[in-house]
Order: sequence, then C-alpha cells, then structure tokens
Amino acid sequence: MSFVQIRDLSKKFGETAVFADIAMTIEQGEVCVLVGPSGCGKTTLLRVMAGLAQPDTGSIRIAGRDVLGLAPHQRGIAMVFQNYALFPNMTVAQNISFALEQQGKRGADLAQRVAAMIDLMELGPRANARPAALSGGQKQRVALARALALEPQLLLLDEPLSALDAQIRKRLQVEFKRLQARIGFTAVFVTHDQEEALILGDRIAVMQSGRILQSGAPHEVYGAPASRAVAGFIGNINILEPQTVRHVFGQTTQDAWALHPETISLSPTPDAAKITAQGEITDRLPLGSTVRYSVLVQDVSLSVDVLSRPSLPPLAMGTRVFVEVNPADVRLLTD
Amino acid sequence: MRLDPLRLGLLAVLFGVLFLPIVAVGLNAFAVEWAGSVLPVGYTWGWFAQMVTDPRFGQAVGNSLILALGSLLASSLTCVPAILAAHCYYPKLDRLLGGLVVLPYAVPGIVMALGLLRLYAGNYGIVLTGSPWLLIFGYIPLGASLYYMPMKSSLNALAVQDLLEAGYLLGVGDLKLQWRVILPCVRQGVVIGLILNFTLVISEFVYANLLVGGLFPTMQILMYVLRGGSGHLLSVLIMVYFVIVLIATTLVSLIVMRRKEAI
Repeated sequence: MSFVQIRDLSKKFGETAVFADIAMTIEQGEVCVLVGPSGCGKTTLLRVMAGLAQPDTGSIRIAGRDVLGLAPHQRGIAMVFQNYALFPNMTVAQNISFALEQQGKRGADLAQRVAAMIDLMELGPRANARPAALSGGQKQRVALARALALEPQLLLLDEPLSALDAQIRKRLQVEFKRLQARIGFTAVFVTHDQEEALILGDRIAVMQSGRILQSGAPHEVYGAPASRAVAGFIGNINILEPQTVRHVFGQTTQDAWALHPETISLSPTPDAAKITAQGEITDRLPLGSTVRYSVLVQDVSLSVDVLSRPSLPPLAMGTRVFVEVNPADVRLLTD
Repeated sequence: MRLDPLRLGLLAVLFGVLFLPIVAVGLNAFAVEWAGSVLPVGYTWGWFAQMVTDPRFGQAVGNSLILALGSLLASSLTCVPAILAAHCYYPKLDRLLGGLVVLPYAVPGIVMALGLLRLYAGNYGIVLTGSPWLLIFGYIPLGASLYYMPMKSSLNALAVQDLLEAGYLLGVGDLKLQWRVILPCVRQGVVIGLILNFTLVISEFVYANLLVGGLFPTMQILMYVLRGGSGHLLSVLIMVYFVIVLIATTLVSLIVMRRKEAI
C-alpha cells in the first residue's frame, strides 16, 4: 500500500470546481511535484492535504491513517508556505523552537534539536537574526528547518522558491535534492515551473483546470506526454496535427505527433533512414549549452535544439537545412 | 547632512512658532508680573506654591489621571481584541468596524454626549450618571479609531492568514497565536493608540464638562473654572498638564524604542 493515498478528492468554491476526482499515490521517501499553470487548483489541493481547507468528497490516507477528520497538527504534516510565514517577532532559533515547544519539547532536548536543525541548514551565524534581516534564500532555509524539526510524515511545499531570483533558485533546488537524499522525507512540492518539477520530482503530477492530466516519473511525463495539454505544458514540444504531419513530412497518421526539440536534428543533406523535410532557419536563440532554432518547413515553424559547440559556428538565418526525425523519437498523442 | 543657512533659518522659525506659546505660558507661570513689557518683570515660584496647595489642584490632577488610566484600560481591553478579531477572523465585520470607528467624530459632540447620558441614565438598565465610569465608558467609542488606524496599518503589513495557518499546523491555538505572534507584531500600532488615547482623554473638555462636570472635576474643568481668575495660576496648571503628557509620551516612546531594538 502506498504511503500517501488520495482518492476521488473534489473541492468547489461555491459553484466553481477547484479540482475534481483527484487520485494520487505517493511512496515513502518520494518527492511528488504538482505542476501546473496558476489557478489550476494545486495550492488548494495542498491546503486540503494540510487540513487548512476541507474537501467536498474523497479521502486522504497517510501511512494507512485517514487524516481528513483530523486537525492540521494531528496529521503528521508540516508545510513550507510560499512567503515562508516565519514569525516576524522571533529569531531564527525561536522560530524553530516555537514549533518544537508545541510538541512538548523542553530544556536540553529542545536546545539540542534546535541546534541540530540550525546546523543542518547552515544557519549558525544567523541563529539570532529576525526574519526581516534574512535574505530570501535564508528565509526559505529557516522555513524548511522549522518544518523538518517536527519530523513530519509528509512535508508540503507551496512554491517555496518562486519568489527567489533564478541563480538562488537553482542553488536551492540542488540543496533541496541533497537534503531530501540525506533525510529521506516524503514531500509534495507545488510549482508552476516545469523545469523545477523535472529537477526535483521523483514523480510529477501535471494539473490543469482542477484535474491531474498525467502522473509519473519525470522522464515518463517529459518523454511520453499523454495529451496535447501535457505536451504543451512540459517542455517546448512541437505538436503536429495529423494533417500537418502529412503536409510537412508526407507521412500518414491517425494521431498527432509530439516532437521534442532536442530529438530533431539539422543536416545539410537528407538521411534516408530518418523522416526528413527541408526548411529554412528563421530564428536563432542561444540558450547557453544549446541553441534553439526556429525552422520554417512548409509554412510550419518547428523548434529545434542543437547542442552548442565552440568548434561549430551557429547556423545563419535563412540557411536551408534538412530537419531529421528518428521514427523512434516520435511520440503519438492520442487525445 | 549639512544644513545651509536658509534651511536652518526656516527650521528656527518653525520651532519658534511651535514652541513660542509653550515658552510664553511657562514664563507666565513664573512671572511676578507680565504686562506692558516684552519679558516678565521678575520671576517667582509663588504661583506654583499657591496652585499646588489649592485642594482643587490635587483633586483635578488625580481625577484626570484616574480617567486617563481607567479609560486606557477599558478601551485597550475592548478595542484591541475587537480589532484583532475582526481583522484576523471576520473580514466582513472588519469593513463595518472601519466605518463605525469614525462615526463618533462625524456626530456632533453634544449629540454624542446626550446619547451617552440617555444610554447610561438607567433607560437600558445601566445607571452611571455623574460617575467617572460614564466618562471612562464614554471615551471608548472615541478611542476606537485611535487604535484602529495604527493597528490596521501594522496588521496590513503582516501576512496574518499565513501566520495563523503556520501556527495551526504547529498545533498552536488562536489565543496563543494572537498573544505570542500577532500582538507582538502589531505592538507599535497598539502603543501609538495608547499614546493617542491618553492625550485625548487627559486633554478632553467637552464630554467631561457635559457628562460629569463639577461632580468629577478634571484638569480641563479646573482650567475652565480658573479662566476668569489669575492667568498665572492658569499657566501653572497648563504647564503641569504639558509635563504630564510629556512624561507619559516619553515613557511610552522609550518602551517602544527598547522593544524595537529587541526586534
């Protein structure tokens, strides 16, 4: 039996359904990332799991225990809020100890646990600072320390990195992965950033309009999107309808094609073993390790990612090239 | 920052305009005689001695302090929890409260005073006529807005809902959260409300005169009584009033500064 089991969970605000028929399982020690556009219901789902909102129907079981009738603090859950929700009048150490005091920890035991969390999060020099004096990254670490100090069965994180700049966010993503590997906590991480979802998740659940469209390992969701909506959200995938496939590649198909930009290659001459079409480069976007080309083929624009190589200069705009697709890399969208 | 002579001059004029009346009242309190000259003719402690030995003085200062402290206690115990509760748990009520707190200032003082007299004259089972309790309770609606504005300003700067929910997840109840987290975070707003209320009550004359008058003479009532007599004695009383307000506000400001340093 899975560690977290969510069944038929639905929630309405008035007549508007926030989410419906949510079913999900999470294994112990796994990080499940809920990813989807703003307003898709992922934060409300997290709040329902935490006990901060009540669902209309469904059940949530954590470690075999139905938690829906329990108060938030009885569910064995800790949460990191989007704005961290640190108590502004307390220092870093007091924020952590306040949490532990509620569990009845006192004296040396309390002090030891607070010190351990401060060490774990490398917050030693800032232990006596108040949240107002901390950077965004430090606040995030304090919020995580306060949550983990409780040794929760399930950790919920509501877009905790969204307010940080790109560089710090990337560093904290790595730190989070490292910490999770070290402690092995079970977590649900909410984000609207598909790249963050792919980095952090052992499992990804793509949500849209209050429904989970696809759930699975990151490589499964990215490599084999189950629908146009998932393909459109995860990665910069080229979606070609059957008539477009016919028009561009001359191939007959019943289903739409999903082509990842990195699975398409560019060549000056066609390769008979591949599906090919001739086009012209209309745009070029250097992305660091790759260059993203827009190639116009039969009035259809395709995104193609090519690895940057210092020895090879980027292709010039207007260059005529053959786009090549390995048949094994074509993903069919059946919806 | 370096001040140029023009700015310095403007500042000097501003301070002069602000402090000249206080200095003049102070000089008059010590003046042997001050008529027909720029400065008093001689200085004396005599007026102070005469005022302090007047039994009405001690009674008026005592009554004013009782009223100020009593009304501070009553208004802080009613207004502060009401404002916190409305902001944190009842947003609809909060909007209503925002309108209600300005109402006492929209109604003419005489109408308000008559309303309070009617309310506390036994028509509704409460008889407080002629007692200082009438003033203490009467000042609560006046004081509400003086707490509301600064407290709301502090509360609006907090993500209150997130803080409460973070507390619930830790197993902290509402009362403890308010006491340990929310109230300390809005302390500055509460303290500003306390100072404003203290100065309002200790300097208030209209309600004190209309509601209780000679039955519970305050410093403002005594000033009114003395207005036809010696200007020197009146100046002494005004100076004592200034000193009391100055001490009270300085004390509270010191407490706020010390607490702010702690944060």
